[in-house]
Amino acid sequence: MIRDNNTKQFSFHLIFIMFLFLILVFLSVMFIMLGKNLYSQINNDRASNYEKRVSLSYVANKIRQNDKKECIRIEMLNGKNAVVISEVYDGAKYETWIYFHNNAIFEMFIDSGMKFDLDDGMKILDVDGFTIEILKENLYRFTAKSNAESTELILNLNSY
Amino acid sequence: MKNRISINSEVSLIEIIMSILIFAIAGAIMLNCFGAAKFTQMKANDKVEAGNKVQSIAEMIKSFNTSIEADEYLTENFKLLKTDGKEKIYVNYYDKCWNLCEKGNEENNEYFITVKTSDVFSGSGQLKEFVITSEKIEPYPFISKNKKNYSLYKIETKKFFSIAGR
Repeated sequence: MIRDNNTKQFSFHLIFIMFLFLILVFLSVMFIMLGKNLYSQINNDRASNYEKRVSLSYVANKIRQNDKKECIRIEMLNGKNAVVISEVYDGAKYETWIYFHNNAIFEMFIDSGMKFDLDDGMKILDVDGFTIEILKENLYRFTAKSNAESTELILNLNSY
Repeated sequence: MKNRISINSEVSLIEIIMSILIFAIAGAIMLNCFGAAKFTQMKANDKVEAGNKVQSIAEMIKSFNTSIEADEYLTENFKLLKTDGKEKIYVNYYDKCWNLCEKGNEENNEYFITVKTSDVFSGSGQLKEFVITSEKIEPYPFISKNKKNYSLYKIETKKFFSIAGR
């Protein structure tokens, strides 16, 4: 009888301890999964944030640097609007084309009026979408898209 | 025999309970860190979006040739909050995805942008000062200590509107 009680007590304690241990393991796994999910979410957000911020500020800085009379224009390139910045070095005219191609923003520096292949440009940044709209003669809207989220920036040309 | 089993079990039980207690304390600290990390990233995203919105408004205002055009743009696109002499404050509310909230339907408001305009002087033209501020209505949990509106981005700029037009 005493032995039976001992066995029951032992079993109960063992099951209880194992149950607590199971809770501990379950909570540990839950915390690890939570941390992993949170980390990947933060990482995705950070990447998306970087793409949107850098793409827009890159184009904005390029335009602001070259905001001189008749230096900046928007032209169609392969069915999409592209920024064209005209520059003169040693009397020769050059153009910098900034355009969206193959889910990335490209930049191409060439002689003025020269034709080029879209793949020849230098890749600046991967983005899911990049559009340029002309709102007014001196006002452009740039929209960058990354991970189904988009953000826009309106730029005013002081020289036009 | 009975005593030996009982003592061993109790020690194990106490050990496990202590482990759970320590784990609970560590877990609470970790949850706090997770929350802080999540909302810090959210704040970074909001700062970028707020910056773009505020800059866009400033660029839009600077693109106008006359102060009347600028006033018309603000009246049409913002809600006039306050007029005080030469000073006017306009406001727009946005939801959590930074979509503009319709006037009258402002229960989903998460952020707001105010545009404060004031006339500096009028002579051969008009010099206007614009203060554009983007704020979050509720503070960020885990990272914001103050309970007031949390400022995300602010631009102070001036524009001279000449009589000639530009």
